[in-house]
Amino acid sequence: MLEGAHSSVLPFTLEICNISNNNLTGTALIGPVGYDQQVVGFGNFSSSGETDMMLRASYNGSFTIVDIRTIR
Amino acid sequence: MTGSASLGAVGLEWQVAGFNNHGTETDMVLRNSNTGALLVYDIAQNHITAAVSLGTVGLDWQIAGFGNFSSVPGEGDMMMRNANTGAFMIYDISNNQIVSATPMGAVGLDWQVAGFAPISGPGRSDMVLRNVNSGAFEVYDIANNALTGAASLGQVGLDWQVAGIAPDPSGGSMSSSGSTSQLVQAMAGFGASSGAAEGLSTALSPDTSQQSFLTTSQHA
Repeated sequence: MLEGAHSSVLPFTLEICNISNNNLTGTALIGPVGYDQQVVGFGNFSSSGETDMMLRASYNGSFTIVDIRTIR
Repeated sequence: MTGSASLGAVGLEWQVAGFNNHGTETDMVLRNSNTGALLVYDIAQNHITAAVSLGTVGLDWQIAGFGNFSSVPGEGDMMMRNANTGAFMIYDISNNQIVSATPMGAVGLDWQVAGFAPISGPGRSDMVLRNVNSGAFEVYDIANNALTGAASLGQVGLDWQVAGIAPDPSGGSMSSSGSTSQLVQAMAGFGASSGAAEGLSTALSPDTSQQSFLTTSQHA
């Protein structure tokens, strides 16, 4: 998962990098995330058997789960 | 991205200590930065289903990571390290409760935890350490809350920093020499300059000398 400054409005854009056999096999944009949101970890929070992303707002400590599926 | 769900806010003195995988779900462990108290949030279907205290541990004990150190299928346990002595302690967690604490001995503070991965076999949570002075890697095999073996993983230049360790999902472990090579390459592959290849050329020779790094077990 990469985090880069791709947007001047919402500065951080999250991108998934798929890796297979030690090679990057694809990338997919998740979308923009505000400066005040930090990625704190990944896990199966949705109980779907897939990996989701946890964000936390730096100003008030609120947590948000980003449910990630079907990104190719 | 198919959606998002708010879990609500928690005071900023509660910091994310890590995520504990057990069974097919992932829970979040928070730690109070003022008191050392530990709290586990059970998460299912994008909601917090329970919040359970795990008790308080002195702030000189830092969380090194989570893994299945007890070898009980489906369980996630916690490894802590004393910031002053380098001692390790396994906290065996079952059903949101610490059921035992097992000292693992101390390792010099020049050896830092790089991560946990199934290096000795599928389903295992072995501990990878890295020397901050030399860049050398060591793996400590862990099963049934005890050290079962140790080996050198070789040395990679300090300009290469560990970004993460991920097992091959098809095999579930990194036990073969080829897979170990993949581990080192994966760890080195996120660096910003050349030099890892040279480090790998001598990285994979077995080395049992690091057993001497362990010293007398120390309790909290």
